[in-house]
Amino acid sequence: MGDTITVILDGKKVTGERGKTVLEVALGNGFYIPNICYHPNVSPGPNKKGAERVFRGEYEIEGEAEEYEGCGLCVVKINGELRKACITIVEDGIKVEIDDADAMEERRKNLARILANHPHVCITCEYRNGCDRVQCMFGYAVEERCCDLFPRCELRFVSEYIAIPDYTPKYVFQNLPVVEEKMYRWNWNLCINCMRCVRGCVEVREANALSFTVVEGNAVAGRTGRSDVESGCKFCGVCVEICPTGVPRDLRRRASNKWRDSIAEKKLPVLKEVLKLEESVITDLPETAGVFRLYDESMEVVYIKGTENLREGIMAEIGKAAYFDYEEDEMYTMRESELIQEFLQAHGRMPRLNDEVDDLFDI
Amino acid sequence: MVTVQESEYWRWPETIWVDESKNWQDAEVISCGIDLGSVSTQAVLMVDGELYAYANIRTGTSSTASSEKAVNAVLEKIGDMTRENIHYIVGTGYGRVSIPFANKTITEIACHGRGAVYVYGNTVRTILDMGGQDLKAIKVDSRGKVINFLMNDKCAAGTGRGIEVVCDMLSVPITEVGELSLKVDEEPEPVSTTCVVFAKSEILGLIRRGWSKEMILAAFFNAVSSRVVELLERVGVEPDFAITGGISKNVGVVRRIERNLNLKALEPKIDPQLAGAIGAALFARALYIKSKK
Repeated sequence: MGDTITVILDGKKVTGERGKTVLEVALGNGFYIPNICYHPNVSPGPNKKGAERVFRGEYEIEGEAEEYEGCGLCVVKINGELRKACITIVEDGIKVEIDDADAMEERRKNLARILANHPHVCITCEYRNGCDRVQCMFGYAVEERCCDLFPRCELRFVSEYIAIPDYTPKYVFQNLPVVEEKMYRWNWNLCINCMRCVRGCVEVREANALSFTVVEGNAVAGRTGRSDVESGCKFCGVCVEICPTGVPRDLRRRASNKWRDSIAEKKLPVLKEVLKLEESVITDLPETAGVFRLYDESMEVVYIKGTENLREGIMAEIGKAAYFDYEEDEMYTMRESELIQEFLQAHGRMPRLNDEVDDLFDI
Repeated sequence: MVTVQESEYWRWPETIWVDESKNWQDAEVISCGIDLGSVSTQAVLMVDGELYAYANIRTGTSSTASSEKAVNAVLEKIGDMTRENIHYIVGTGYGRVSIPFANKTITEIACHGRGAVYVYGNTVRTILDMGGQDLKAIKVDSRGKVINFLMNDKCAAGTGRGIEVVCDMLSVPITEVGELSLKVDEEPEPVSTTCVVFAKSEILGLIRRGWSKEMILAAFFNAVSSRVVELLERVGVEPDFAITGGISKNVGVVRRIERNLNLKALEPKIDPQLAGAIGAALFARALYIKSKK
């Protein structure tokens, strides 16, 4: 097409396709703007009209067929004005400030609003990364503890990126319906009403089995009928795939189909600074015990290893990956196991280079 | 008044064993695996992939010295073998990096998977490693390759060390607590926590209330097993199921886990505490053969 325009993102000139949104152009150019109700497979969240009632199992929720406002996490400053990046179309020469102080405060405010109705011990607990999620040494109520989506929960990643403000209200368990259907279990307690499932259902599978209604100004998602069949569910599983917080989960084995497989994995924020795996960087490292992780070009963890001497240990890995990060830890053999466990839970397999013993089984 | 004796009831017997029917001089590959754990250290010698000799000793204050001690104990028992005769040594366990003479270190998770298949046969799919200071639920394929695992957090509650402490409190030798705990007419409620510090005070309370040793042990092991079962259920138990590590010798814990899971654990062919070191020795053999190719 050649129909490209220039946008100034955080002071840098980048190009984007005409007609795209600010969010799409930013993500496409490697800039991250926090977002949760946005998903690349469906249209933007805000300004969609809902229905007069939705159902969560037997519970009927009556409201008004009003609009959903969006999560409000993608707010940026465009030419000095706060705008939602997901619905603002790029124009030639506009100035976008992603990490503007006002925009960041607005994001935190909106995040606090979302987290008020979603358990968030998994983000605030100091031990969240080294925990077996069986016992809770801080004695948090079971309903508030980390859910089984913990390793991959998008909301957690985004919240950690934005940073939860101090004024976030305490989550109070509301005992919302947990609905067991033929194929899925809907734990509505985890719902943040981002309406991604609704748009997935309407736009991807065109089943219209999910919708939302606006109750006292708040949009509430649910089924369009009392049961899966009654609502017209076609059991494609797009909702399971697209939900950021794991409200619908497969009750059986994940059934593969073209709609479900078309749902792209979302780009998550990089929470940790990584360093380039180069000699000049490594010589500045401490010569203490610790654990390091190697990342390839696309920022995937490829190796997790504990070492007695971080500088020496990482130096020996030059050439095997592009980036690394590390943490100092006296109990590094244990920390290594913890990090491998965390990776396994999230990916269902070992990091690529950790399979070093793989060829030793058949000898 | 009830007095609690501080004695050495926790001391479990050390073992050093050699298969006299084998002659190491006939072997092509002599490999050694050392599992240096927080409470116990095992050194296993294998000749051409077959168990030949082992030592199972307590880990002392120095990891390096403990690994030396274990290997030397095996060599001494064999008599005519020296360390130079061993072709390859692999270290594993939390202290694996403190074994200066190891050719390579491999994580204990990989070693336990591989070793469990040797100890229990290749039908084992879910392994519970109950060690001195940690619990691991490991899922493996038929070769013993790890598919998934889950371990407890930074807390030794309900692990080997916890049981040692309870033995001392009740003045019952650690080799007998398992049997003793099964001699109850009715299963008591589990103690409310497996945390060593809290369980200690809770057990003191039970002693004062006049509970028998059997009942107290049963209550404690009930708590241990329910904690373990929670961990196992998270990783998903697939039969066959086996337990490795020191606690696998405690029938009081094993029976209760089986009862909670409604699943029988496999009977070991060899001391299941050796699983990690056996896995390491098997990897050592493969590494040696690979290096010669």
